Amino acid sequence: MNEKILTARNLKYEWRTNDIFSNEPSRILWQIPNLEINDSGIILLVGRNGVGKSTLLRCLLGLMRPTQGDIKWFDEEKTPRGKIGYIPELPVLPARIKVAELLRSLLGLNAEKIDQMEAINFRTHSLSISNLLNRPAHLLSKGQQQRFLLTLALSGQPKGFVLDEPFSGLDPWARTELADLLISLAEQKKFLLISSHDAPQRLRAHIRETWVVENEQLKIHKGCALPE
Amino acid sequence: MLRISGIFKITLRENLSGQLLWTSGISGFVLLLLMSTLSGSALTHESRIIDVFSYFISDQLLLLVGIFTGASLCSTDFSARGVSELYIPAGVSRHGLLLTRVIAYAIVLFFLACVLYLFKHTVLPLLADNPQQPNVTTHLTMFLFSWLKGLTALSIATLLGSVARPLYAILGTLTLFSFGHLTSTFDSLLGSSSAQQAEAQIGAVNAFFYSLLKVWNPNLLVVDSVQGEWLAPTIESVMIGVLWAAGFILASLGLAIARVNRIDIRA
Repeated sequence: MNEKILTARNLKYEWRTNDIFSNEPSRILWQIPNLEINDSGIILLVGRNGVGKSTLLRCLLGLMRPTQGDIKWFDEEKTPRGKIGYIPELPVLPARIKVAELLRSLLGLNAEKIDQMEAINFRTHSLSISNLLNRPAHLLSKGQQQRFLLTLALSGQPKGFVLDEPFSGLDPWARTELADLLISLAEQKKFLLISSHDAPQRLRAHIRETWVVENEQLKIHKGCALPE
Repeated sequence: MLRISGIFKITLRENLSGQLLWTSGISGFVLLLLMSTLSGSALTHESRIIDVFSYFISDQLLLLVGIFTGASLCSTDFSARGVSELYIPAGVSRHGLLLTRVIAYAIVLFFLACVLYLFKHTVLPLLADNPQQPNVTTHLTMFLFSWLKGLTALSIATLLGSVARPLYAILGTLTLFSFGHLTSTFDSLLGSSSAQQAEAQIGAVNAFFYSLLKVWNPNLLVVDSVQGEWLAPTIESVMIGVLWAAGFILASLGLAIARVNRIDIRA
């Protein structure tokens, strides 16, 4: 029997303010009775601004706790510790730390292993950040940060990827490169859960499922269900 | 393990090249140099007061660095776009991340304490016309307790920073330390000769509340006594001070970890 990648039951998230002095009322973002990922391929998560797409991704990854519900990765774990490559929506990278040093810290690798990993990434995915290794991480442009995050995500040879708005702020060339890389990952039998408002046309043809968050519900459509 | 050592190294690098540490260090050097210049032209008893002030400067600088660092730790690391977004999905636990950062900050504080005290006891006497021989035990005790006080402030500010915004965490920690000083002042007022002459007595209820208030004093009283009386403290009082600090640090960090494990890292 095939291992289920993700199983989530009776998920609900009720947004509450963190400010103890605020009397802003709580509101339900979404209620999802059943959510599963059983196969490789690209899943696109869409919805209007503020419906809770990023919140859903964060709950699935263990960065946030849903108000109720159970989440299981690979039939057992609540969080996908190291088995999923996560690309957040451009985190603030530590100041005055070189990219190579940050990679070593995040991956727990020495300099030699970083070079080997670079070579593998270049061979397999045509992805290289060798020209960025000696630059301070916080000074990278959006496109360069995206390449750094992709390198990071690919390094652990994960079973799949979760990406939050990966195309946001990228130039057309970088968007095309990223779309090609994501397509090639899907072809290598990886699953990709991508939250994006503006998936490029070439990626849309490869989308297996679209998850649409609207009216506090998650609706699942086959193929790409984005308006043209 | 390699990831944890990586976080540790990065935190050290971040701090050693950070503005807070350098600003504090340079301010410390300037103030200590100023005190040393004043000390050179002062009479004996004035010179002692100036010396006490120079200890106070090192002590308070470490306290402030501890407070500012701790107060912003959770809000920067455990928030959207913070480093936890990279480390947690990679398999690093939240408490592992927090503890590693705090240990690295503790070493940074130790480094700052070393620099300030070495400057005071090795460089400044070279510039003085009439250098006085320091009492090594007293100075080592002052160094240890200044560092422990900074560390206590760091832990308390980390805890408060995990439940409130950094500004409130800074204000809260400063209030706790200032309030602690008041309790020791209250102690000396009660022990003063005028109070004893007037046969002042504290009621049982007030005594109970006072004992409760004293527990919340994170200042290490042994430092206050060394500053005031200029006597080398006994081993007993040093041990009590260390245990007091350890209690505050462990309790604050334990609560901060419990809180951090429940924080929602919101988008």
